[in-house]
Amino acid sequence: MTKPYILGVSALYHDSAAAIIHGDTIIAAAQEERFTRIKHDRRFPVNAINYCLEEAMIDPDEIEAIVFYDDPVLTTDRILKTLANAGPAGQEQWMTGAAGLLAAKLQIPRLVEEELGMDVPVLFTEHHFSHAASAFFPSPFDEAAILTIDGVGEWATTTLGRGVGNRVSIDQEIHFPHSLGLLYSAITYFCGFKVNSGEYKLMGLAPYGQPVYADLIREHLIDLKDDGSFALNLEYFGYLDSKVMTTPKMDALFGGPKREGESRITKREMDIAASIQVVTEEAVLMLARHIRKTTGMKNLVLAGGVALNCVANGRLLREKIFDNIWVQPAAGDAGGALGAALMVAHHKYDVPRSAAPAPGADRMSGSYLGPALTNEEVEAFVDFGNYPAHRMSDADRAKRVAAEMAKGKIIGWCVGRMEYGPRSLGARSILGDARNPEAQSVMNLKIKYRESFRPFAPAVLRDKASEYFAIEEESPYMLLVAPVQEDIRVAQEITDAEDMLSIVNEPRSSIPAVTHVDYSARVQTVDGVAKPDYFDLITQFDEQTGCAVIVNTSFNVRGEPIVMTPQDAYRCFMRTNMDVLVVENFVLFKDEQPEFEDAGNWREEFELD
Amino acid sequence: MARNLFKHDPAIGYRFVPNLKGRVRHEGGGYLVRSNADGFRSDRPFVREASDTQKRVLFFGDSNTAGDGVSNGKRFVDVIEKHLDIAAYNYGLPSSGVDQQYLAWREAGHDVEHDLLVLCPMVDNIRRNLQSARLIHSSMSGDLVMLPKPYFELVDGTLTLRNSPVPKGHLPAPEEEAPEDTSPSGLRKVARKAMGMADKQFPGIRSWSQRARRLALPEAYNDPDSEGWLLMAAILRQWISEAKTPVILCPIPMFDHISGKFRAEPYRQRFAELAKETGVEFVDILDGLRKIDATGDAPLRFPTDEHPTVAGHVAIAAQMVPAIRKHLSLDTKPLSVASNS
Repeated sequence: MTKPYILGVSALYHDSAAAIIHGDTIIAAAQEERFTRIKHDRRFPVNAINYCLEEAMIDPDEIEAIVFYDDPVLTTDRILKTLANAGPAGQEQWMTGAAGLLAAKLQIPRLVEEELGMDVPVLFTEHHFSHAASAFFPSPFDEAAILTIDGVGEWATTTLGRGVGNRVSIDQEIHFPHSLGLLYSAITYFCGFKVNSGEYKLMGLAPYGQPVYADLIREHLIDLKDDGSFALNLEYFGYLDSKVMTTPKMDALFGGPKREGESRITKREMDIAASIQVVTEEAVLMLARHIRKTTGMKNLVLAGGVALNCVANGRLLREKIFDNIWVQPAAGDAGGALGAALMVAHHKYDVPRSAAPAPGADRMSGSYLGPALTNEEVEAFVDFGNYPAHRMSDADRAKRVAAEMAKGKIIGWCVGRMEYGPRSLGARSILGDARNPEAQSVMNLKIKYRESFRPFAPAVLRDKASEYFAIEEESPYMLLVAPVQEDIRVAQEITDAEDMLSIVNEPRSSIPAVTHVDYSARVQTVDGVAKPDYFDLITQFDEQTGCAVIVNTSFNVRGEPIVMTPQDAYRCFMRTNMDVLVVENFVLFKDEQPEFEDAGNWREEFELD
Repeated sequence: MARNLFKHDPAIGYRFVPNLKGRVRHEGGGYLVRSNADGFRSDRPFVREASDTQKRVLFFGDSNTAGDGVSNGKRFVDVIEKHLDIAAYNYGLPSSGVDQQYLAWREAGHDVEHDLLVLCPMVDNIRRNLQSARLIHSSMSGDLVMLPKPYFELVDGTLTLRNSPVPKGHLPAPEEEAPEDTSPSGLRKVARKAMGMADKQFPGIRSWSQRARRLALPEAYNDPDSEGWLLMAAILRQWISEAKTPVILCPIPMFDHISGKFRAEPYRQRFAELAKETGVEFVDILDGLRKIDATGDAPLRFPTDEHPTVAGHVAIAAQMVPAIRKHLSLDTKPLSVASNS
């Protein structure tokens, strides 16, 4: 048969998304939240599907199949059995939450028909197969061990498998309720952050603390076995039979009740964060060692929400358990849409796996798989609004914007296809000068309107990455944490401060804006192949300043989905203290813009994660 | 939020963002939109110089011609192009009046060499010609807004262009949407409101009532001296007088005309009179569409959206093909509706 178009969909839990492939070529992928402007939107991703068909320029009758990323029947089985075991205590949870969710999931074919106006075949895969497929098929490897770790799929929470050619298989599973992802989420909840979105905050908080609770966690919360398997002590977790993640026993374990959201973060939360990070890393390393032993393979691929823990990924890399590691950039549930499509392409339609675009390169196109804007669209936008804008060539844009950054200006950068996955990788990013010691607090407090402790990530020219960071590998997806090189560090006094604010703004290196309190950095290496416009910008910055590192954070404010359209970008630009906005080849300066009229109190529009 | 499809145009009001590649969600399952460098919804560039190998026909109209609801390649202009092996240039502009369609011709079509000009005003466009702004859903925000448009006034019998250049930006939408036809009397307003309430209570009663009364809508066609028709006729007269090629005048009926809910005779009479006066061919596609609607399997319109389906476009194309073929002296077979729907 000719190469089929297959549309993958993940939805109705969190971070709905759609992806479309042609054969095994990834044409497009995007999260629904970017279109609806509702963070982590879980609804059926009608807009993302629309975009996928737009990018492929096909009508629905050209789609061979639509694949849903998990199996609602197996999920039903898990929920029914869990609630039966929970007894009367779980009934309310069932009636208010799970039933409605399942009803929706069981109606996927109807939702598809309503949206596409025709009856396209709908197939289902399994949650962790979707993750496994998303990790292996786009990877650079012909064969690899596969590790998926997240909260929960149907029953599985962790799977160990392998990928060879155009097949993936799962050899071992750890089942709900024993879940590394749910353990991390429960602690996220306990520390006052939102489940399924605040986990990365916990990770960012960890370096401020000491792992003084690690033994307590090992002793009471999780039993880690030598073979990488684990079991949770369910007395401490509420997710089986209530709407909360933890029980009063957890309060007792950590010496008091959970932190309430937006209240002051104390040393206890910092230490808990540090402790759970240590234990999570141990669990991941044990799983990795086990799967290395059982598969004998030298490559490892990862997916699932826990694979977004870039600190653990960095540790995994440094331990050298595997020769090579590749992490799916959309490792969370959004990535399940892509995995589901690839799974069916290879397993059902026996699509052969195409050659990698270059030796050692992956098939994700830098994860720049979302919508792009054309200069004509941007021109239409700025013309309609009478917004002063300067159209520049690519070269002039790089030169001018680099010069503005060097002067300490903060840049909104909206160029090229939007990223698929949670990270901004230079297509929808806020950028600044990494040498600027005030950049972190300015960007956090005056632009992102979020907690001041949150670290920012560096984007560095690939060929110069090792001058700044102890990293030899590529890290194009910002999923590896590496130490800042010792020779550019600034010694700091070790404090045991109760108030983290006193240590946040201490310069710790010659690139203080991206050096975390423990001298670590979540590195993105940038080359001229996947993202030439971004590469040119950093190159220009390097030429002008002698520094090949810039600050990169997602183009949004707290709790807001990353911007997608010129309207989103302009609104965010005008609401915050950004100085320059770049949308494709149009450059807008804040001091030239007309007064911005904004309806409502937008700072209350988006909640903290 | 959908991709923004349109850009401001000081002469026409707006046109498609050039070189656009988009898709619009729709009750029919969604449709693909491509525009060319000139900002019209066409897969092909509009070339000024004539081709030695292919006849070229220019089509003007509103969203029915532009093809709201169906993908590029499936609209009646595309169907005609494929069937007759001609180069069909689609200048359709959604939500436009005939005033804007004429201005699009002046701005973008006049200098393009061609063999035939096909004017496809939608019958209901007569109301839009009287408006200085159109109530639309902003494709940027989704909000209901008023979009300024150019319009003509008849001053001492002469067409006078207003709102030109067209101001940028949106105007606030009125509290309530403007009534469908012009200036109803106070009593009729009350009756209309009562009918609206009754229709909510007994769905379909409004439609039944309209069918029973066989209203002739839009009303402006009922009187050859009405403000609306005088303006419509003046614009078309001007347009035809500037044309350098034969012209086909092919009004697109409303679906209520096809279903028989609205009486069509007034509009048919007006356009026939104008065609005779100006010496152009009036192609009346209503009877053909009624026949296909009555006998065909596929619906010609969407359930809610009053635009033609793919089958509707094929049906419209089938009615136009004979006249275009005759004008171009082409030796092709008639278009079979069944094989294309």
